[in-house]
Amino acid sequence: MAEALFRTQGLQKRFNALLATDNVGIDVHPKEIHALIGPNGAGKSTLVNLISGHLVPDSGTIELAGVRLDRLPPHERVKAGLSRCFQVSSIFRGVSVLQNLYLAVQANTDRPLTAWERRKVRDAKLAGRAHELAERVGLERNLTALAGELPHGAQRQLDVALALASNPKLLLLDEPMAGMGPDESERMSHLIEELASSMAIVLIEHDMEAVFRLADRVSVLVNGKVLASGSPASIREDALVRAVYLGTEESA
Amino acid sequence: MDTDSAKSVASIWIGCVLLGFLVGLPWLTNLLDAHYYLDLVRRTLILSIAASSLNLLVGYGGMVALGHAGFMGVGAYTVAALTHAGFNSGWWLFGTATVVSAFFAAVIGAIALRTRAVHFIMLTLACGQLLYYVGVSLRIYGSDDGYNLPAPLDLGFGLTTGDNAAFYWLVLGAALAIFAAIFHLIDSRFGIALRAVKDNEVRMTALGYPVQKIRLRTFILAGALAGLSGAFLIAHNNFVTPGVMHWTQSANFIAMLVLGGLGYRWGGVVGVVVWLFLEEFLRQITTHWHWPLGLILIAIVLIAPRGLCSLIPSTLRSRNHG
Repeated sequence: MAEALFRTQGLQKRFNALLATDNVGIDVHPKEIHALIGPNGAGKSTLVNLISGHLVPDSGTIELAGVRLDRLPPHERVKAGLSRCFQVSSIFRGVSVLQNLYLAVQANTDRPLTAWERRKVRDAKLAGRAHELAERVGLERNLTALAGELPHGAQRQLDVALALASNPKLLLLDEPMAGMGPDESERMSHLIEELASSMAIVLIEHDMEAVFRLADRVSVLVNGKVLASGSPASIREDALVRAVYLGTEESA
Repeated sequence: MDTDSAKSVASIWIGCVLLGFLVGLPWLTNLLDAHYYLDLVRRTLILSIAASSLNLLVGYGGMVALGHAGFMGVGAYTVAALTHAGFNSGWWLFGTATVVSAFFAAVIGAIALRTRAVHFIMLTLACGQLLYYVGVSLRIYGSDDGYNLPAPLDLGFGLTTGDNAAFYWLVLGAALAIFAAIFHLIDSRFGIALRAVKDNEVRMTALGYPVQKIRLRTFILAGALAGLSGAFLIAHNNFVTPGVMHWTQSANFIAMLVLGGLGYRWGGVVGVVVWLFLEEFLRQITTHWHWPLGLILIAIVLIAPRGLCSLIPSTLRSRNHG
């Protein structure tokens, strides 16, 4: 197997008495979808926040394509090739979809913060890439809609589009299908499949059917620890996992 | 579309008439022997610079700072200290005051911007009060009693800040240039990013924007402009007391800004104009002018909760990014 693109080692995070992330080591290979599953409170979101830099780990290392990320601030991790989506769509609700995309595209230009020239409402320099992103996630017909007024599923798609603007090597998806209807879910899962042809993905998802269909590898997180890690089939058969996690779902 | 372009033509006309009036004001007040009003307009312009810089910070950047008057004081006291040391060139003093205030803003901003919301308000308030107490303790510049400029500042060409019209035109030119620069800034890539940080800081970070740098640069710029405003103010009054830095002054600016409209281009200016002219008008009627002023302000805020500028038709203003 090829060298891992992304790797965490000994990642640890404590909130007072709670050990939210306990010595977590995961790795992701190029173009692989690595799913993280686990019951509520298992520390999945904490782990995503540690990787993206929105939380600071107590110890451990994070490495992407040979670059140590753990000492970089979140915005520099983005430059290094890491991008993320949020459990609750994190978009600019008060402006149009297109303006959302412009902001995302602008961040990846040579001079994202120049004050010398006026940025026009429809800026040709940003438009091409913005439209490309809209098409990629299927929002090309909603460009003028106010982001905050989009249906839930479309807001999730926009969240993904914003994350794609930086051309990430690794994309973190934090429950992309949460709150979605079957149709929206179906569309999102196609999108994720398509994205995996050009980047590695860490997928956190409660929808087990989607996880086992999409993932190349599954890690089970319980009480902040990686309980098991392996192919979807082997995880499905794992007695311990069934007892601790999958079993509880079935009986619920 | 026709009504839109008609409105923008109207706004250009209003702008030209206002500009003509402001430029010609010294002749008009001279003719009517109403020098006091030139003084009032000049003070309004000076405070409008500070209010507009605060609007950039609070209205567009979402950084509610309660120590902004402190930077005005830094500007004013820089002029006081340098004139005390024997310097008298207005241009040089105004420039230096701006740079020194920028430096103070860089230091205070680097500390205060580590925090958010209420903590940020309290830290900026504390820093402003710190500057106030430094002013009070400076016996060499008159402590509480304040400092009188020994002479008006030299503006070259045989003019000084004591020449009412010349200094007025200088302030007017500076104010217009600053307003234009701020309007340009908020529509630039930087300004759009700044407004987006106010909307959603977490996403901006996740998009790869250096959010802290954006905030700090804005804080420094706002501090520098407030400092220039303070330097103009001491030249305008020929006098400064530590009172200009007191937190109640900072709070006044916030109140003016809310009155004018946070995050509206002319919010700061409109707030200052309405506030000062109301105060002036009521003062002439009654010595108990605080009462009616308070009532009128409450009424305005009830009628226009988002500030007076929100009442202006949208084609004459701009608010949202993009």
